[in-house]
Amino acid sequence: MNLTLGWTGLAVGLGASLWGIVAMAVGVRTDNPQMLRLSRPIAAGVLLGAIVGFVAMERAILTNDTSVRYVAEHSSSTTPFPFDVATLWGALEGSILLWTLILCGYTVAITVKYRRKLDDRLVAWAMLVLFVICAFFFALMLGPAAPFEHFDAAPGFDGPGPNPLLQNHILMVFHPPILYLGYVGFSVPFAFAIAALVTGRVGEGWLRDTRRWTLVAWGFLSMGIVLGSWWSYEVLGWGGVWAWDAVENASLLPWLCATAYIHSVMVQERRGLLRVWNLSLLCATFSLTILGTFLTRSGVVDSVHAFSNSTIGPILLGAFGVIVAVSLGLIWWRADALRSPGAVDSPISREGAFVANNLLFTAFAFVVLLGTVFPLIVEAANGDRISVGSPYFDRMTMPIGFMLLFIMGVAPVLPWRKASGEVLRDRLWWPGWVAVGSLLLAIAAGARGWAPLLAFVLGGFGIGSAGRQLVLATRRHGLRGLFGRATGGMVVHIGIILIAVAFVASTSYDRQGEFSVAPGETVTVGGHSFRYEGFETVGKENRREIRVRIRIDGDQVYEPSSNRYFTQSSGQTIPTPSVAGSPTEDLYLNLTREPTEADPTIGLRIIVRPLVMWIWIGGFVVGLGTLLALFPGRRRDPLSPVSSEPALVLGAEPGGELVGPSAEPAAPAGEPVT
Amino acid sequence: MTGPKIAVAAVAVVVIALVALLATSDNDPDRVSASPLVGRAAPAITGTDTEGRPVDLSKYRGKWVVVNFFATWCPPCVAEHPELVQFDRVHRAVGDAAIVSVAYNEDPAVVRAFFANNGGSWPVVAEGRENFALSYGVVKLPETYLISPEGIVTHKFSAAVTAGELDAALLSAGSGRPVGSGSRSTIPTGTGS
Amino acid sequence: MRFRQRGWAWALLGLAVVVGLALGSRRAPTEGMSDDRLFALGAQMKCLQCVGESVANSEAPIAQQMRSEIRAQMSQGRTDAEILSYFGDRYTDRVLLNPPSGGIAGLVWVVPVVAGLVAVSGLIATFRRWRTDRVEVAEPTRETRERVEDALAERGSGADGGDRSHGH
Repeated sequence: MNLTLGWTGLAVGLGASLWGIVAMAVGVRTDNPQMLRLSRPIAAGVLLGAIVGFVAMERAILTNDTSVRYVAEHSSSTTPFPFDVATLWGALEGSILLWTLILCGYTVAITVKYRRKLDDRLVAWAMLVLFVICAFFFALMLGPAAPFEHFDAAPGFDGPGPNPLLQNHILMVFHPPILYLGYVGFSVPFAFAIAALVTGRVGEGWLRDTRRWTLVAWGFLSMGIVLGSWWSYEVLGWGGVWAWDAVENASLLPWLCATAYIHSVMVQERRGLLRVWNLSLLCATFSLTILGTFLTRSGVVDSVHAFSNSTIGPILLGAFGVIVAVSLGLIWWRADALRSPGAVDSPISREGAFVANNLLFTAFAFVVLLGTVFPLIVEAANGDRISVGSPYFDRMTMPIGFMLLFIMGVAPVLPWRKASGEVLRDRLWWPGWVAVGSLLLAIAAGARGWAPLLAFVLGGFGIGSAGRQLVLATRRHGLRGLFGRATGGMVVHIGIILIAVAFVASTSYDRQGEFSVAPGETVTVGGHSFRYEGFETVGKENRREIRVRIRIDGDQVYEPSSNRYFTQSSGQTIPTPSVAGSPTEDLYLNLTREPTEADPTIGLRIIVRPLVMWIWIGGFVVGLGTLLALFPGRRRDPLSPVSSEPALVLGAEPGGELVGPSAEPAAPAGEPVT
Repeated sequence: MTGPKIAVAAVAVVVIALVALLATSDNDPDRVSASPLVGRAAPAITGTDTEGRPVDLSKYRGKWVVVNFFATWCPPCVAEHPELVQFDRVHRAVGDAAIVSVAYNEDPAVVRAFFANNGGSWPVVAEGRENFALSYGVVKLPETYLISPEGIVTHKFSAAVTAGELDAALLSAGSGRPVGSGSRSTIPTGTGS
Repeated sequence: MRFRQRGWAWALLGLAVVVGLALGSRRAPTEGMSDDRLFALGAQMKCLQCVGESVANSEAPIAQQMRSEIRAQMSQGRTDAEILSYFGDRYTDRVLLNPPSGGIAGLVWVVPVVAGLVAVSGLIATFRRWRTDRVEVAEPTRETRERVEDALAERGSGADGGDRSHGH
């Protein structure tokens, strides 16, 4: 029953997507608005297919319907709530199902938002691109990555359940969906970018309309990455936050391009510059999303995340190639139309800062990508196997990170077009002294080492600058001044700086110790004492837990544990760390050797890491800032010119119509532009 | 060519190279893999086996030795065990090869029980603090090293091994004939490091 | 307000930062038997049994064994380089998380720097081109000025006022 339901849903989804492609293509070709308006019901049909498939799979999992192979291989009746719900995205085929559902959701949302403009050529092309992407993923699920395959289960068969690492912490339930909301969200601005290139309407109209979508997708992606780090910290037992693992890098690459884009797009809105940059960054973001999916699922690089190797690897690589080829081809074709009317006047200006920003983020992405695939390059060249790990990435990205921190401080105070030394000295005065203050504070707290201290300096500088903007905004407009893109952006900056500085501090100043501890013994690390008091064994539905009691500083008791999951056929045992967190430092306890009745000595690993909590606080601030930035600001219509030449702005309407300068010669003023 | 077109061309070149690289990358580890030890003298293994008898790898000069790293809690090792039993039976009769196993992270009593249940009577050293696995560069279990009668490592197998593979390796590295009949060993010169 | 324009006030600020940074310097330990050194060395080696973890971070049996070996070697007084090459000899370069600086692998250090230099020089060249473009446009030559005046005078003498529809 679930199988039939699932197949039907997927078939409906694929059918509707294909119909949508045809309808859009024919409608655009024959200029038929009736047909173009069909995109709304067709998109609803696509979403319906995805929902039916998703519900069928969840139902199969929750009722432990082992006639579905995915359930037999990845689910178990003993998995507790809510991890059983999360089992759906615990393995390859199910994760593609979730991805597709979110993609269809975004597609429908677009048809709702643009319901009055569905017959506009640009929207129609965007819908066509979205339908193509939907069709691709549905086809994947009807072919190589099929979640609804039949399985002949012996009566009473119970599957192994999701990987124990995926059931250990509640964060695992949220991290993938939020991450996917981010990844998939970038399909929308990408679709509009392609539509703009195809129709030749490469002006600023579509940018403004998709700005909020891009921001939403960026916000979700940022949250997803932070949650992933948090999960890694709480679960994996090594007490770290970022390992430069291939899949972490794969999620960082689109984030870097997207961040560069949301900044650089402001220059295009204001002055019509950097068009090629913006289109390229958007296409790069989406392509890197697909490349990242490929890297995760193909197994060509080592990773914690690697799903099992399967045939969809080459298909995803092919899709990546096609997307890049189409994007590059279209940009080449429209290269002349993309020429900007003006130029950056001076490098010391807001525009100049954003150009530098673009370059820095591109450099960052390049270094990360190079390091990730470099072992493959070397192996192809001379067969040697080398590794590129944290030491390389840390060293290479550190200077780029410092430069970005510096720009974060300077750019908000830079005027457009040109800055004078006087203006800069005036505005950067207080940020400068906040920088010195944070340096002295850090040194007083015992921080040493020029790199982390420099991080404190630049971080203080950035926070001073962002804080200054917030103060000015609230002074001028009261509480209302906190809403809107500009101030929301400053709040996000503060969040990012908190994350960056906390990350540097936590990795530079950690103390670790590994001990063999007998009951009653006390060990000390980093100025704290840890006493092993005893242990107990607890049975749960799907695992046996050995909990060890550690008393910290004679005060609180924390219980790192060792969990043996017995639904897995090989009986995997994984340790669950316990973290005593505080705003100044985290005390991280991990059990490395289980005690037994006969031999109660444990292996205990203790890590004292300062300021880790500020990484999560910073993440929360980033989310808050994104929300604030989504609200409309008090600005005038961004399409009305501030410093761009008047000849270009034709037919611009306050309602934000998707019109704009096109490749054809400008029509005389007063005539409507279609 | 204008600026954007140059950039597009450059990016196209890089992406084509990247796709070609990723498409041709092979992620299957070799069964017979490169090891820096191949062609070098085998690191020493000395100690007492699970039956209490002394074991010394250097005493095996003149015979081929299969050094097998395993553990009873490792499923591929358990699966591989009958192959080793088979190999041992054949070559013990001929007298040209022997097996020495190193049990990793194991209680000797558990290993004894395992061998009692599953057959095999060659020396097994339960590694304690000696770090033999480290000195051989063992990454995961099971791994098997083939050592020539002169005490040189000739092969490394990174996964469960079969009797057939061991025999083939013996043939390719040596003549396969019993030592003492002037076997010519074609030891591959090491990969160096 | 004018205070902050004083050059010396900013020099003072810069000095405070430089002095602070210099004050706070510290190096990672490269000798002795401390746990800090153990984990610093471990962080430079890859745990081969795990995916994506270093020897310092992993709890896999091989990582634990390697750490105890590092400890043993530290107590024998070996240098960082000797310890790293001990493992490199037995496990190939794969075990070292810092890619070697020689041969093809060394490219991974060089390529980003070269790409960075190319990008920066491209940027400088672009700015220079923009500036010269603008400068040329900004100053019409005297000849051009005269031609424009002549043309305007001619047009002004035309009866119909001329066709002015060139858009805005």
